[in-house]
Amino acid sequence: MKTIIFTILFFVLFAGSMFAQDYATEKDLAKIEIVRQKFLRSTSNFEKAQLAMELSTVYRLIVDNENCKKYATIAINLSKNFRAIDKNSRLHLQYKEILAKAIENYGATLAFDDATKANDTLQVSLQLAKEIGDKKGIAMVNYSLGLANSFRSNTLVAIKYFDTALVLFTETKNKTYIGNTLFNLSLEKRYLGMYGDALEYSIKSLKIAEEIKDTLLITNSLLANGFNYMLAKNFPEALNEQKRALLFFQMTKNDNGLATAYNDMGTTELNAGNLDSALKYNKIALEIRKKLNNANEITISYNYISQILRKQGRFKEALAASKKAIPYALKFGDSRFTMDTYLETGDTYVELGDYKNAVINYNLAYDVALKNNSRNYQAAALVQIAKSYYKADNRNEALKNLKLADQIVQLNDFKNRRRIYKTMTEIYVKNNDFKNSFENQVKFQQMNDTMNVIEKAEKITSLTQKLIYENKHSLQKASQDKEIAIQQSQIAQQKFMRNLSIVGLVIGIILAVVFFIRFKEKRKLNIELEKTLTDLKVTQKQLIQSEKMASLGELTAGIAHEIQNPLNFVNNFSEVSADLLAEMQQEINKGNYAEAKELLKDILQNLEKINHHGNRADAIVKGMLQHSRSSTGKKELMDLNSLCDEYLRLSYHGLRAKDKTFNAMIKTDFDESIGKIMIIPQDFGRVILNLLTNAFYVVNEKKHLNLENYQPTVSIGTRNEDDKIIITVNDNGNGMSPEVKAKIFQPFFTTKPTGQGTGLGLSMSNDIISKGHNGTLTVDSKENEGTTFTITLKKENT
Amino acid sequence: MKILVVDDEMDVKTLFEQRFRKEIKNHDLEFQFAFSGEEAINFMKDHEHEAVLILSDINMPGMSGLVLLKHIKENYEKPPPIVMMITAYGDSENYNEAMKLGADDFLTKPVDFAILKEKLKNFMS
Repeated sequence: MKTIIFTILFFVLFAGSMFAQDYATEKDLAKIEIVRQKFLRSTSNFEKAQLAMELSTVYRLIVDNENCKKYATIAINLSKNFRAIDKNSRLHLQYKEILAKAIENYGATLAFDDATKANDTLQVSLQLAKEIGDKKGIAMVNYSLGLANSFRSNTLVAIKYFDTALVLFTETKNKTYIGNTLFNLSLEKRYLGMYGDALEYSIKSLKIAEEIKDTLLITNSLLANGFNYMLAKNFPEALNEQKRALLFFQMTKNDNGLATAYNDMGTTELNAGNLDSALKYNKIALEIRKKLNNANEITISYNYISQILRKQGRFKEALAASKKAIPYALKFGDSRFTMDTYLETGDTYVELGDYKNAVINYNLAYDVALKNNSRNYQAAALVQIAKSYYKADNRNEALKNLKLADQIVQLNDFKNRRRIYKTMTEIYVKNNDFKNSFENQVKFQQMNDTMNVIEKAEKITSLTQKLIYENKHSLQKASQDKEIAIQQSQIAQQKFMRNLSIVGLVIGIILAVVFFIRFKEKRKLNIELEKTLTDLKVTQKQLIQSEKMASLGELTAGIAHEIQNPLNFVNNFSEVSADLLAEMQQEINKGNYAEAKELLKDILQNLEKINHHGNRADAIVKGMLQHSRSSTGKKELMDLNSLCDEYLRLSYHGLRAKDKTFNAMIKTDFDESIGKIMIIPQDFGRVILNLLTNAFYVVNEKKHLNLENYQPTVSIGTRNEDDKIIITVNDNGNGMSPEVKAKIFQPFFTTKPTGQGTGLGLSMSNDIISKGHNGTLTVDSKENEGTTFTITLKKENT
Repeated sequence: MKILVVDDEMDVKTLFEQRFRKEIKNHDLEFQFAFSGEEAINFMKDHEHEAVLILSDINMPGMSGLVLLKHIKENYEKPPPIVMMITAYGDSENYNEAMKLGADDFLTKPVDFAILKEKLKNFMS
């Protein structure tokens, strides 16, 4: 059988925020009596006001609202004329303080009857406290305002006041109220459905409560923790906290607290689906509450018991329980408890198939709702009535009630509206009224969609909160574990130190061990440092290699072209030589020796040419290999001019191959007197190549500006001077600004677009010339005119 | 008929003279050589009214063969000189560019002189 479970939300939420209020003990009452006697005997207006205010404060703390209000009113009347007293006198201020506090007490008690009035009254008190500049007073009024707004279910406003109070209490180091404010913030966050935040606050308040040994706050925090864990669906942790609270209450013999703890444990078990345990705990709570005769709490227990029994299919027992709840609910006077109880009873009658009695109970709930102007309870009751009639096959009555419900229901009460339209649709179908059935189906669908969205949002919120909760929990656990570990290590250390002092000899050994460990640690650090250094060196090498490969890529096309040219000659000169030999043979046969001699000259010349061009191709390939190979770092005797010429061709054709539109005039001015000098060929070649490709790049850039009469030109020259050799690479590009010029030798500096240059070329070139060849690489540049790089090598080094 | 060979490689002259040894001897062909695009243009100015066939390299420092081709085809309408391009870059991009500019033929290095002779014969007749 499908169980209809009518959601009774109110008492569930209420139970969670209901805490073991430590009502006045006899000691408290005795103390109060002494103050009261003093008040009655006093003849001084000021003293009377002071004592009345104190009495109202004490009564407020023991939740004796009537006496609190009575003495607050006396204090207000006795101090309200303070403005007549000299503004600068101490008395003026003291009266003002009494008035502020008395108004606050009065306002706080009002919260129980009329939260709006309470709020207004408290605002007056806040204004006075601000005028006095009394931080403690302002903090207290904010706290009271938080509570008053909490009563009005004005959660967000309440949080705002509690937050302000928390800051002020922290500043004034009022630990008791820091704890209480944290606890209240925990409750408000829970009402918002933010269980993770709620848990964070209740954990904090528990910590403070334990610090200041405030039993009431400890147990309240434990119960709040328990409830928050339960809402976050961590049932074992919830029960754990609730059982801790239970122990406290057993020690302090606080029956009220015991009942609350059992109640909460029952709720946890109910949510965890352990119906038997849930029933057991709720029954214990009920027994204690009956002894204490707390009407509202007895109602709650009976309602829980009824709900559990109904879930277990024990309808008659459930009915008995909810029926017993009714007189208590009526006695307590909160309409929501009464309505919930009637609805609960009605639900059980439906389960029993007794629709007549179900309708009677739902109608009772409806009447209470009507009297209290609660539209959602009215709608809910009417839907249940309609459903009962529908089940009893009285479709007309059912429709009548549904239509009424449709008129009453609030637009944003999607849950009840969905119920209304769904039931209406079903009835119209049964009546063969398809037009109305369709209309309601559409409405139902709309409600359903809305509800789905809301439910999904709720689910997301709950999931998020669960995540927050889990994070906080693990953090808390981690810090606990850490503390335990520290404590243990401290204990171990202490033990260790004790033993150490007994056996003097051991000290020496220990010290040796310590030093050895230190040494090992240092060595480990050194090894790690060395490893880092090695890694860095490897990375650097890879970077240099990649820079080389990048320039090689630029060259490959040029190299291919450069090889084709000598190959063209090698092939053709060898072929033509074969022809010439054949011709020569013929001439010899004819006896034309003069002619044959001519041919022989040509053939010899051709062989020379074949050799020359073969060598050329060989040099290109070798150059390419040299360029890609890691440098030997050894100086060799090289023909500087031919090396420059080779790289000039390579870079020019390389660029040409990449960019067909590229072209430039090349000017060479080689001083033939230089001959061979000692250089590191791979490294030096790389420098020349780098300077040339840069030069070609800038003239090409300038050419793209389409300036009139611009002839891109790159020149390379060598000069043999007294004690030095100078190599210059010049371009007529756009030159560079002083800012750029200052940076060009820095590693990773590049003016090329991202991805086109590594920014390492010139810094590497500079290193090669200065470190590898003991020379200098300098730059001279004029903006818009061009740049000249000059390599100067001392002859003694070459 | 005059044939102008344009290439920055000096040895081209020797090679052509040997390859076309017989043709030159019999005065079937007459070869002239220019070692840059600029030099070729000067030559054309001096021989404006003669029928000339041009064989040009593409990759030369300064004026490239393609620029030379464009210049010739734009400035010499009558009679239109025949221009054959010879290059180490046998890629389609070079080929298409040459054809777009009006080249009459396209050869790649290393040059196959048997084919070149055949082509020249066709252009002469």
